[in-house]
Amino acid sequence: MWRLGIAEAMAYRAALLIWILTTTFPLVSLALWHSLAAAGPIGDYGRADFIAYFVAAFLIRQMTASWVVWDLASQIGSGDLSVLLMRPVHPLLHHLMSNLAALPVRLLLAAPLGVIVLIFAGELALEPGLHLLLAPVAVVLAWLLNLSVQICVACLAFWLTSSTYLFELWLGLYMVLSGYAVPTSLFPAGLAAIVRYLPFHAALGFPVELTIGRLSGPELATGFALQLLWLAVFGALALWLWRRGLRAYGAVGA
Amino acid sequence: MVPSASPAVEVRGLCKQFRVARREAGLGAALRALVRREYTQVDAVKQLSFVLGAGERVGFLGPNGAGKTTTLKMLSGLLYPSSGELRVMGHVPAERRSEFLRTISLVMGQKRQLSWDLPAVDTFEFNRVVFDIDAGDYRRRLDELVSLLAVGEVMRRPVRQLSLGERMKCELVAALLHAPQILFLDEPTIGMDVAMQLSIREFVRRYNVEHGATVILTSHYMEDVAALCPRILVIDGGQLRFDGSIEALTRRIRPLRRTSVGADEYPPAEQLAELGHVVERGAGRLVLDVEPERVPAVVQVLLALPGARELVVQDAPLEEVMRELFRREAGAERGA
Amino acid sequence: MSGGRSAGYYLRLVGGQLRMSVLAALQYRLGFWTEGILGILWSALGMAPLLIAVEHLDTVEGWSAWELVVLTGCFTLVSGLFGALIQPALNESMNHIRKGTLDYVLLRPADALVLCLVTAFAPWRLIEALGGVGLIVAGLVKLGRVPSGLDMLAALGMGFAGLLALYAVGVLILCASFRAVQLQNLTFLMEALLDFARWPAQVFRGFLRMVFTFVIPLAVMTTYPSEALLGRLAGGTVLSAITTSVALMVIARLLWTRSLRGYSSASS
Repeated sequence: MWRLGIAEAMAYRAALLIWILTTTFPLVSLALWHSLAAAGPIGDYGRADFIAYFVAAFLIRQMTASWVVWDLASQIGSGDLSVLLMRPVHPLLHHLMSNLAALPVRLLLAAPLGVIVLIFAGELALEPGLHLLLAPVAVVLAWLLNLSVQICVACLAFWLTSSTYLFELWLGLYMVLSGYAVPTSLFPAGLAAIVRYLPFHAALGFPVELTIGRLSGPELATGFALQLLWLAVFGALALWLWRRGLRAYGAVGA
Repeated sequence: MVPSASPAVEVRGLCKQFRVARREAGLGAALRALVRREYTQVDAVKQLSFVLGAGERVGFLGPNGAGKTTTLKMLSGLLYPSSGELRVMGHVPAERRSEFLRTISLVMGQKRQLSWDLPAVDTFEFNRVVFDIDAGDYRRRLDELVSLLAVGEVMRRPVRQLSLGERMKCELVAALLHAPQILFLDEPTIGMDVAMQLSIREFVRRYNVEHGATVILTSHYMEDVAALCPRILVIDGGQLRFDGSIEALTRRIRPLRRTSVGADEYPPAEQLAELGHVVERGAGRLVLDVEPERVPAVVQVLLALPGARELVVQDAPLEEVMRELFRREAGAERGA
Repeated sequence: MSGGRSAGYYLRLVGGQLRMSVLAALQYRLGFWTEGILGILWSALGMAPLLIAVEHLDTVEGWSAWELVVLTGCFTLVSGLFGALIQPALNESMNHIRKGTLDYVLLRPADALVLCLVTAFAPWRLIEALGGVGLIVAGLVKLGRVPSGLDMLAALGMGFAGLLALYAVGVLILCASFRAVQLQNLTFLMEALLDFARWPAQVFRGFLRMVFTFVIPLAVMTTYPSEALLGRLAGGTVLSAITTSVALMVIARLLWTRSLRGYSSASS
């Protein structure tokens, strides 16, 4: 099944290429903030800090992104889900696996780009340390969080016709509030405090800041706690919606 | 139907090739395809030539992937021919001239032109604008079509609430509002029940007779074609295999006439074998395939049987003829 | 090519399509206003990074806060027009390509490209465009600047050149989606890139500057019109920007003709 997923990912080479291009968004942001910081640091971010931040954001976005919401919602809408339900594998597990399978290809394409940027940019504020061991954990949690949110929204397709529209709302907020376009710590102080408690930050900003070593011990603990909390909330919601949705789906006799 | 002097459709040496991406199964092939994709040439239509007169009703017959739809789309200017000459109402379709597009219309059974969320009448109104139809003409044609197809109430409901048959009737209205002189129908009755098939068939025939429009039809349902088209073109493997009437096709493929009779007692097997090929014998019914020139003689013999009743002489069923035709073509292809 | 259709016919065509789009939207009770207001909300949200930069830096590459408001107004105007006119038509055309119903669009007696570019509209996004005009006026009033007639003309010219370039890029995407259905995501890419037009073009240097001036002319769309309104746009820039847009459109048109020849129509 894993192999099949990779083959599928390949078949969509065009989509993949565009996906990579779209996710180079942080690299343009990098160029932007890098030149804005020419005269001096912005907040506590110097030029080198911006490079480290956005390259990490780019790579982590690559690793944690998912597209379950589009696939699942369209399967529910079109009734193709029935085919999936017939198979011995749980449909959600199927989607999880197919997401996982595309990961190597995407990293393979994205990693060199990240390295090239780092080489050209020259300066890099990345110190080795214990936090690098914790980073993979935060990335996995962020991935699971993204997945849960997407399954939640996709499950709404059991009742609504345009659930992906809701996901676009989520994505719009994510772009700004997750630290994808600008580090959340640069937000005005009061606002930053609130934003950093939201699930968006847990899904991207936190693993990024962790990876580039900007977080102290207590901040790490809070970050992980928030990730787990949001994961528990959205995971439980996803499963509940899925069960209720299946019942509604069966009732229609699709 | 008397074809007029200038033909509606002239096709000479028409060819269409498609490039199809090819990939072997497996991970390695997928990786290779990521870098370089391999293509194969597929001949969808090969050296097709025919002439259709104005006002004719013509059916395209052929198995799936035979090139019927591709031909239809080249005739309507949607696809560029790879080579060959093509004229429809004196125009080269691929040039997409406005005057040409106003003289044709295409209805596809599997694709809608009606807006899904709106009542059909809104799409009609939009087509009035698109085809620049004079308000008076529009009113008159709409009234005529609506009463012929009985969609007066149906066309005011959102299309997504309509049944397949109702939707197709509205599609026909939308396609005919600009009074096209050529009507292309691609599988118009697909998925419909028999009653709806009959009513759509009847409508198309009537439209053809009353307006003199040329009708070109492809359908999987042999009865559609048999009932509607005095002339059929059999296309297989992108080539023209037959051009003529259904009767002529049947005679060529299955020259034997199917002759059946009921009787109290039948002659012995060896005597029957002299009359013709025995298809069925028993339960008070005898069925023979008989060579055409021997039919009168055989009928004499059969009527002389004790208690002879219900003698019937007919052509082989069309479905059987087609099956036979395509089997034969496939065999010839393999042999070559 | 169909040739010989009058401008009046095309205006009626656009009108007819506009009617269909509005009717379809009302059918879904999407609500003209909710959609429009949501659009404004999005542009406000998108301003966050720029606001953060202003808060930390006072001026961004020589643009003062109120000058940036004018720029943001230009951006909101352009993105509203993009969302109302270009994006829905592109998406609808791509839907047609995917479902094979583009056949019906192409059978209409008019220029194929125009037919595709008017397949759908989202008129409620024009509310966003109006909001943009409001921002421009507010910014200019605060700066105490009344643009001369020539400035206005230059700004309008730049705005049209920008829209033309957007259309050209859209047509190129449409051509690409003839080849591979998956390329439809390119509209998302376009939308994401368009977001960078919020920033003054001066922020980008080197390679990106070239890309955003000549390939995807973000600068032409927002920075140049704002500079024109603020009275600091050089005449040469106007000419070169218009040339770029026209060149892009010509390339797009040529490619479109080629693509249409290769159209293979989704088989049924």
